[in-house]
Amino acid sequence: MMFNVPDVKPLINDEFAGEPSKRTLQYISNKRASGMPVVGLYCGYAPLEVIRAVGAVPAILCSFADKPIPAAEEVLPANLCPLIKSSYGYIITDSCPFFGLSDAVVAETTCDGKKKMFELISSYRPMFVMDLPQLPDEAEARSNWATMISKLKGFLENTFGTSGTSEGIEAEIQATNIKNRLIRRVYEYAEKKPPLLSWQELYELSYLAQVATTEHLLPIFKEIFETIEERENKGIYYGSPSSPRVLVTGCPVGGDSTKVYRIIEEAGGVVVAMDACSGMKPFLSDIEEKTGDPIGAVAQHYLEIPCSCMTPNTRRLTELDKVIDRFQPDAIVEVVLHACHSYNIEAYKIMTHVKEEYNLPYLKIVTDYSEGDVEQIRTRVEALLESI
Amino acid sequence: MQTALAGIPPLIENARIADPIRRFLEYVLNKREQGNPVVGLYCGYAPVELIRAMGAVPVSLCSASQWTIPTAEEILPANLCPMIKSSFGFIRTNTCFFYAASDAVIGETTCDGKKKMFELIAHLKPTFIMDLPQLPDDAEVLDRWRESVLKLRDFLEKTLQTSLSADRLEAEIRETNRKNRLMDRFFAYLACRPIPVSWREIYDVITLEHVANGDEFQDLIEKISSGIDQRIALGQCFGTFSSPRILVSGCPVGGDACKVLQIIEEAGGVVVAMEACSGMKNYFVRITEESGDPLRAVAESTLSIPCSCMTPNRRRLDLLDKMIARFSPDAVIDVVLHACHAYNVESHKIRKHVQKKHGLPCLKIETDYSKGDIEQIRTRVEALFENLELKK
Repeated sequence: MMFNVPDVKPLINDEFAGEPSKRTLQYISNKRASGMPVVGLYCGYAPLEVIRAVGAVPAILCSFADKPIPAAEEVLPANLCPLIKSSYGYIITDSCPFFGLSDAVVAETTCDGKKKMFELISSYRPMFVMDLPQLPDEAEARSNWATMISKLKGFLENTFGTSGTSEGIEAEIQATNIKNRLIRRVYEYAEKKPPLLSWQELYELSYLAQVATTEHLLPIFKEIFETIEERENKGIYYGSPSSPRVLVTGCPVGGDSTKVYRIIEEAGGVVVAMDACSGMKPFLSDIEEKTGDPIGAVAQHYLEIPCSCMTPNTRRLTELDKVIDRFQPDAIVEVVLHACHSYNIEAYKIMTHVKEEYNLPYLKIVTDYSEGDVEQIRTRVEALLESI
Repeated sequence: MQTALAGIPPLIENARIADPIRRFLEYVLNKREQGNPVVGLYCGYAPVELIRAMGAVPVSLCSASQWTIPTAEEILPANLCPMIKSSFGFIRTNTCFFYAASDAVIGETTCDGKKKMFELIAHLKPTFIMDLPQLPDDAEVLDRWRESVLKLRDFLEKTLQTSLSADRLEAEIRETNRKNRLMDRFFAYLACRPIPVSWREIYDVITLEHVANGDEFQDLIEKISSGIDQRIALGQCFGTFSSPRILVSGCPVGGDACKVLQIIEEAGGVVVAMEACSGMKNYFVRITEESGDPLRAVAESTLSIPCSCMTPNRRRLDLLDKMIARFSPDAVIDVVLHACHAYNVESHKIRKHVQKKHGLPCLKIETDYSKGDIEQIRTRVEALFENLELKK
């Protein structure tokens, strides 16, 4: 799959095109060199606005490569999510540059595997584990989560000897909203038939935007919109008008598991939306501004992330409805990372929902970071796309 | 190898009482006929004192049979804990009598698999999911959990049309403490070398707690104790003085997973302690009496259960220290049910702790409810015992 003309200018046009982690590494290294502490993260539940408000820079830690998994399996069970094994393997082999730069790590009780893996790395860096409420619709969930976020703030302030103010958090909330609205504007070009950008471009943008400040991103966005508008004017698009449009949902997909995106493209499909944390999920909604209780607003926003760790996760269905309406997919591919029980079980609900409500073809792919199942996935994806 | 129990009088003489499932079934049926509502449970975090104080009967729902798993796997992933698959399969095949008899069901967010499985059964019965905090050492944790317990009370009041009085709850707290102290008298025998009871008898006695109350339970324990005293006086024991003594830790072991206990026995070992929820863990709990806030006391006691769903779960190491000191095992066997990530990852800590602090070997056995791995487990258990032999 490619653009309909050769030599299309990349969306983010710098020396890191195609290498999103190198781009963010340079960004974080620069920040740290300027004296800012770095906070390593594993998950979208970490409240970025609070981390920034205490003067720190967030860094997403490595978790997407197969390479460190054999080292991890010397301690962790083989039958565990590859994201967790990879994260742990990176740390014990000392090969995650972001972890190397981190002055503290924020973790959450999102799933059994991560929760218990964090215990094994808690001695490497000052670490704060956030007890995440799992029933998002209960009245106390928000206040419990707000308390946890306040405690995180206290931990970061103590660890770094800095302090964050309510005004600072409020400013970060507003900055996040500006950023999220801009990203959603970019997504509008993925809604088009055919789309004007590739999954790699969407993925790279998500990757950078979770880490970089709005201030840093504003000139980049300016260039992005110029590039896209130029594409539109010149009739440049990605794939072909007849390419089946695929919505990819489920577990985070990055690094070695982007094989699934590649296979979809090689089978003739075009990935128009990625609703996981590694894709669009963090940017789809705004944080309430000027509430007088910025931590409460942040708590509310993060608690609304429709991760399968929540029960019941009804928001995932309502968000999925919106994504389907906007991006008009012809098929849905759900990626479940091996042994991720919560996404795996929830997949049954998702399948039932998309079939009953939309009568869309749905395919669940359980995979890991190895290359071993590429041909098997290809066969299944080809069969799915043929059925459209 | 083993001293057979042939010729030795059973610990529980009444044949009706001796069959654990039958007596439990009868007990629940009787209670139901008397008009008591039944509340189905899947986990030790459900506060049974609260349920009892509201006039309801807590029952553990079926979860330990291979038989229901194929039906469950039509919807649930195969790569999931057999206990969760079995529980779901029992419901799908409508074969768990206790579930059928339940007027309400309580679930907890203990693990990913259960939490998400509950979503698939929540529409079948009035079901209440308790949001279990996972950081037991956090300052607010007890307030959070008390709030969940309070909401459970509201749910039960509404669903079962009953109410809770602080006095009844206080009385149930005393009752649990009394039972747990009595149970401890029985556990004292497990410290004997050689041990005078088999693992099956340990299970039988543990399950008596569900069907007998107050003086009746005390009476049973006293009869059992005198039966054991008599065995000791006659020199009757299970295994020999040199049989390897095994502490079994980890996931709940019941029904088809009891194959592990059976294999330990067949390989010449004796099970002297079972740490899991299905074993002794919950009986070591003492609930604060006359605290003025019995709901908080109940919340505190359940929260102290050292399950691997807690992080960090230091209390499990403390409990193991006490159990190792008391029951003098020669080895620890950590049973991990297939795909139970929490116990599986925690196993690494357990092994290190048991080896370093106590100098004991620790064998992790990952298994499910099928029979396919029996010979493989046997080989590993036999190898463990041979190693113990070499060290002597």
